[in-house]
Amino acid sequence: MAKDPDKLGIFVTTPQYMPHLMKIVEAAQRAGKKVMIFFTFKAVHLTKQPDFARLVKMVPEDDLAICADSYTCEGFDVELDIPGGMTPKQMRTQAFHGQVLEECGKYMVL
Amino acid sequence: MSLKIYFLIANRQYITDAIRSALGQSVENHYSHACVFYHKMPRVTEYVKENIEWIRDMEGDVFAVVDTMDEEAKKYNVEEVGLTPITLEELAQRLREADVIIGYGMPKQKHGPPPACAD
Repeated sequence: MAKDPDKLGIFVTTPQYMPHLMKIVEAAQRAGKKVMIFFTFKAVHLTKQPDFARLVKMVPEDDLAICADSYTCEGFDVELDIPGGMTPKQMRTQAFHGQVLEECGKYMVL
Repeated sequence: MSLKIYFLIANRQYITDAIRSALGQSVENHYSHACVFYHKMPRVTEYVKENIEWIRDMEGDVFAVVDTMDEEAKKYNVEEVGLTPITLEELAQRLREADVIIGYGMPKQKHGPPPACAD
């Protein structure tokens, strides 16, 4: 798939920036842009923050995913503890990050 | 289209996972490279060794940035683990050709790891 110049990819690697992430997504959407977000490694702890459910509602199912292996490595149950509002198909592999790089015209790491 | 991707790893705790993430992009047919700054590698399991080999099989590499490491970390990472040594100057040249540069994880740790998480 060709890169979409109006799509911002966000690769989230650290558990520190939830408020920043929310503001960036809000600002992007207010500007009429789409976002695609992948959470990996320690960043999967952000799924336990109160704002996460709001984020899930803001981003279409196909554009938001978390690394299932990271989720398991960090001690969460990938089958019984799917973050609120998410579906099993959003528990993905690093291939989703590849998709972010291929589809998004803009890209940033948090 | 295959991208040239560089993962820059400044924090020891993130090294193993950043290498796994780099492998993920190798498997997606990108030229994926992991660059370890500062620290001695955490315990290198068969899993990590296989990941490094697989990245190399897919025409990527895992580098130790030797200018930013102390002698002990450099010796261990290059001679024992077999990471490819690279200087900051050489890495800077490569980054000019990169399509994507990913600063992976949190900044460098201020303190060495306590025994509880030392490996």
